[in-house]
Amino acid sequence: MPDLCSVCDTGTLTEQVVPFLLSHGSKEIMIEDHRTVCDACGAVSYVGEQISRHELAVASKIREMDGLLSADTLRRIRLKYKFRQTDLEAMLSVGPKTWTRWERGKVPQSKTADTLIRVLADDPEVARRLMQQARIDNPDAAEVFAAIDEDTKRLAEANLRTQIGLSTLDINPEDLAQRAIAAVRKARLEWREKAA
Amino acid sequence: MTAPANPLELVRRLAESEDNCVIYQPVMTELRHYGLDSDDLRDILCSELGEGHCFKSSPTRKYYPATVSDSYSIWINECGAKMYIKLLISGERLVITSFKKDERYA
Ligand SMILES: [Zn+2]
Repeated sequence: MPDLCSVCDTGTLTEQVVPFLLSHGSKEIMIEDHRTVCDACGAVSYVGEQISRHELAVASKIREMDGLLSADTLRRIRLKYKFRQTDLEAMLSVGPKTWTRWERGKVPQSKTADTLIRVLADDPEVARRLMQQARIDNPDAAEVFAAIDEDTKRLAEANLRTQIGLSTLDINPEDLAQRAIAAVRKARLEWREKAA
Repeated sequence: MTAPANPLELVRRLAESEDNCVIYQPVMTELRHYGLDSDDLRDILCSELGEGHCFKSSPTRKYYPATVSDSYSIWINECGAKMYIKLLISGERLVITSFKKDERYA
């Protein structure tokens, strides 16, 4: 006996691949939808793997329309700092399981969250500050930041040596401080380029 | 409170895997509206839904009265509301036909 529709009790269900008009804000876009349709009442359902396939297709299209980072990228950013999903939920002040959901790919992050994620991905100082503000105790992430510090220090030292080496002997403390700041800035930029 | 016709043990077991589930389109639309996905819904069925949330049990099919739908009302934090969930078991599948704000509390 074929599967009967749970809405009208009479129709039989068939699998279809049809265009699905996705409305998102003021935009509309067509996606290919794998679904199950009742031949009597037209009720649409998603059976087994059709469920995730539909959700992933919709979320990925919304990410594309809004220019948001992909779920894979979110995961890569998190792992770069060895953050746990719960760490990022606390850092971004979003509800429990929210980051987990974003990374699962079926629910896109908001544009606001996306902007902040891009900044913390790009700048370890921001990531560290958010981690401290949220009072997160994560030894693995702390180790990553220690390594970044070590790296930045090395790059800054090298940059400072170059700057001092090229300059004349008239170094005063003020000038040295300026050069040190410039060296650190350059080192941080270099680190970010390296990490990107 | 009404005793659910579809044993919750079986509902939970089926909800563990997407392969055993059927979700109707309005349910998917509503999940998206609340920023939730089907994994969240299955999680709720597996770990939060209790017999005490069931308030109605009624035959689904005129021609196959053996199938009975259970209606639940459960507070879901992410929705900030009591949500109405209607489900049934058909063969080896858990069918979720409704998920929306429980208007009795609106
Ligand atoms: Zn039907």
